[in-house]
Amino acid sequence: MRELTEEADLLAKAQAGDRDAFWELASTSVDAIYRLAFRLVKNEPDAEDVVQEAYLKALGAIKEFRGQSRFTTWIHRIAVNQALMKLRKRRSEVFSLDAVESGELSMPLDLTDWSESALDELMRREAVGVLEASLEGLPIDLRTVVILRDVNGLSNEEAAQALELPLGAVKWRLHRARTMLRDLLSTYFRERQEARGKK
Amino acid sequence: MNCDDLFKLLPDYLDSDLKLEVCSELHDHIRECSYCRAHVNTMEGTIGLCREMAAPQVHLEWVAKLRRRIDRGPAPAE
Repeated sequence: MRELTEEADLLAKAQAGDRDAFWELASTSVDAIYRLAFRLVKNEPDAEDVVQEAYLKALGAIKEFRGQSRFTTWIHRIAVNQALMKLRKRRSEVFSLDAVESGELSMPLDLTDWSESALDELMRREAVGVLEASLEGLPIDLRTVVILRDVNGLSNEEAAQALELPLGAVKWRLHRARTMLRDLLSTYFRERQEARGKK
Repeated sequence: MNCDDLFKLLPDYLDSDLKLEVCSELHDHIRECSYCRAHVNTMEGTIGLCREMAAPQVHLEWVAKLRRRIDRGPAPAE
């Protein structure tokens, strides 16, 4: 991670119109922002549009950015908004991030420990594929939090800043999303074991 | 600690937000309880698999194009 003093220095230069400094700030997060965009809009051309629009927007608004968060958190926030706008135009799914944070999660009745099976290279690769498909099926508010936290590695606080949500809401969504994904993976591993048993 | 306590503490445990002594109690419980051990292991396994998800690589030419676009982009608003 870049030192905060170095980031502050680059930010001051970028705000003075130095495009090289802006690019130095921006370039380290391009992969992460593309990953976020791709997982949200689900295709490469739209993901590229989202990334480009997000960076151009950030460039235009760089003087408004006061450095109250890391640059990467700020650009995540802009990119999430750009991706939601893209989805809104497509009207392909419910895109509100304002889900209601309520409801108790219950302990699963039947739970098999598949963590050892996931060490098998082949099963692990398959499981990642299952996870990718499962992630696509999650509601957008849950999917976004998982991408920020578990795919792009933001902290809970950074995710809360990026989504402009209270910390508690981020934690609640994250746990709900992780639990849903875990349950889908559990089904995959159980079926895989049963199929092996039949051979 | 019992299973209900663990269930409530799990989100903080997974985010390493628990105090050391509470973590230690939780570890004691999962050593004894295979159900909670499965619960914790599979949640940790899910997070581990999430970290392995890759998106298609961003093409270098496309990144170069983005860079050029930024160079030509509008001046920051005052």
